[in-house]
Amino acid sequence: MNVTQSYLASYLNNSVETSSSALSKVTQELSTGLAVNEPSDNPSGTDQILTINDTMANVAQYQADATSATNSLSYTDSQLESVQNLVTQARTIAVAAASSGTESTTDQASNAQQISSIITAITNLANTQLNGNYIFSGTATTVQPYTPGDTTYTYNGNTSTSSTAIGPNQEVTTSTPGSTIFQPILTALSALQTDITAGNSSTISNTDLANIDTANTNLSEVRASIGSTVDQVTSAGTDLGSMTADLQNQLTSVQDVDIATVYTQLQTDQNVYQASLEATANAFKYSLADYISG
Amino acid sequence: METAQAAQTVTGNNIANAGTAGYTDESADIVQGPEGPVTGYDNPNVSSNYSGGSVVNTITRSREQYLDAEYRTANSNSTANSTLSSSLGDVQDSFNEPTSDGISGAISTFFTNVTDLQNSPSNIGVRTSVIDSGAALAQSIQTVQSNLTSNNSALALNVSDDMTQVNSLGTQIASLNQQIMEATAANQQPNSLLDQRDLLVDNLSKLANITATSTSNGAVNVAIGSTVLVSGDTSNTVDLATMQSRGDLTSGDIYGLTQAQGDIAGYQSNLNTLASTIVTQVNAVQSTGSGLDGTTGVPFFTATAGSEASTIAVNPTLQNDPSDLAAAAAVVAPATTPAAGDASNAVLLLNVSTTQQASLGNQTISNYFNGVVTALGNATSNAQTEAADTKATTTSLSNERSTIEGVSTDTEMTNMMIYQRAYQASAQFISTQNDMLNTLVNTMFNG
Repeated sequence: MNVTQSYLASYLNNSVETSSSALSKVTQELSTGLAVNEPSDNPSGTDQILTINDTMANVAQYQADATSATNSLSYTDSQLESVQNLVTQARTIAVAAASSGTESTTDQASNAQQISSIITAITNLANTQLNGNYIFSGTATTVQPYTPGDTTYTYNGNTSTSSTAIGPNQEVTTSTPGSTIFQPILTALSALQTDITAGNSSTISNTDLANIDTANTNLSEVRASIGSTVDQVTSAGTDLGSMTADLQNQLTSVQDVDIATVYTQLQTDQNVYQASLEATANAFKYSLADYISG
Repeated sequence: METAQAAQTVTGNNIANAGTAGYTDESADIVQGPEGPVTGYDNPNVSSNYSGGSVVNTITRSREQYLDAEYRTANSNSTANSTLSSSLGDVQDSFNEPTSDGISGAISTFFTNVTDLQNSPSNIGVRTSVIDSGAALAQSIQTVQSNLTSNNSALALNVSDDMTQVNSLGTQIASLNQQIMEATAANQQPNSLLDQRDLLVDNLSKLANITATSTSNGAVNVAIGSTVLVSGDTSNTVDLATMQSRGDLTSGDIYGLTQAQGDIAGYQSNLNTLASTIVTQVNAVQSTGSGLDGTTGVPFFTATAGSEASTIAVNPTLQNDPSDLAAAAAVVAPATTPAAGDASNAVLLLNVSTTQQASLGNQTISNYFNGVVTALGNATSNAQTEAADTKATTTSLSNERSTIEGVSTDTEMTNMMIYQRAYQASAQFISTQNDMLNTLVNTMFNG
């Protein structure tokens, strides 16, 4: 082969160009820490990255929602626990009123007064707000469920329930309309108050106590259901947490550079680049012209 | 002596042009000179026909037609691929994926905020985030679409520059053809004109797939597919639309540029489809529900039909009053406002993100967009590989050509020494002849 100067120049130029572009690619990977800087770096990896990022954003939202659902359910349950304590107090008074039969008018008045206070306390609990929203008025969260002082105990909310998404196609009910919890309690306690005032001990023992027990059982069922929902949300939250960790690992394996490998590659590319520069610098050093003496 | 001097001139010319683009290594073809009677002998028994020394017959360019054609085909191919690859690289920059700042991130954020709306339908802050992230999504689609339009205009400018260059090269080749034809007719060897013409044809091969055919009168005819650019000493002005309609362009810079333009048009149409689906689907859900204050019929997005990707924006009415966002189901009379906690329409809005949309080939919105980005990645990656492969072929052919057509200064030095010695020897010969004559004359007159 006749090695001409233009051949040598183009050959060397090409090898310097190739090694410097390899070096620049590795430098880009190291400086960003990303193996996929453009879709063409890894088209199928790009698809994975985009899908994982989208899923992770959803999972993060579900996690936040699960946390807020747990908080709101726990708060609801703590309010209902107070309600249940009050109902138990009322029942104790009812039992006393039913058994004595011959209570003094003063005692009757005092008992009736206590029941009235209990009713007021329960009504206040029914009107509890969380973040400015009434939690026992169904989805009518701006409407006060029971108007204070309304002795007919009319429920102003609606009977819809609200729900929270804690995963794709996974929703939990996060509210219970006040009517299903409070209506039986308030009705029973209101009758009790009337019967205590009137001294109808037999009605108290025959009807009112039974109604209070039914309302209380109903309340226990609602609380048990809230408890199981909290468990469900907590377990979903745990799943979402491990899902986030898995997704993060997947993302890292596709998107991030393996620093050790890239450093080694950088060293290799630097050596090649240096060698090609050296070769270029030395290529035209010698010529026959140096050896021809005039 | 004249022969050696002429050959030395060729060598000098070669060395001087070792770095000149398009210069072809020349060699002096030295042949025996014409025979003739040697004066001074008239003995009929001695043959009077002696060889008359040497002369430089022609100065030959070391050129290989076949290699030239191979190189030009490879050059067209390689230029088309590298142009396509770098143009698609720019398109990738326009999409700005996979980052959290691109369209994919904006789609995610928008629907994530809708999930939040589902949980807090009456919260004005949440409503504002949904509307703002909708505006960010609209903006990011518009930005990419406008970047793609800029990419396309830059390519169009290059195409028109290239076309101007093609026609100008055609004119120059035709004019060189004319000069070469005249020189050839006069039995001259117009080597430097031939070199110039070969260089122009090489340059032309970068722009388009050309076929160069030599004719017996010294001209080179150049065609791009079935379109004739140069025929003898005349050149035709060629135009892009005609060549495209005939399917003449198959490689070269212009082909690479128009391919990239076609790809960009495809991505722009994809974005239009995406934007149009988002506008239609989100607005359809918005129209079935009711705002916090009972308002209905306030569309979420506005866009001009047919150019959704460049016009998509959030309805300003909605931006001014976030309570118009229809998170609740339509109000049933006699009520005039929905329950504050009613999020049933927000659920429907969220479903838009998970529904396989018929207009997107039964894919979800984000899957469709991811598919577009992945297709772009594949196209770019393939173009890069093709560009590297065809460049390697071109480089190897170009190197092969350099070894034949290029100048090796060492070879020229060697030639120079040969001709120098020949010159020295000839000079010595003359000097000896002179001595001999001197001896003869001195002997005759002094002896």
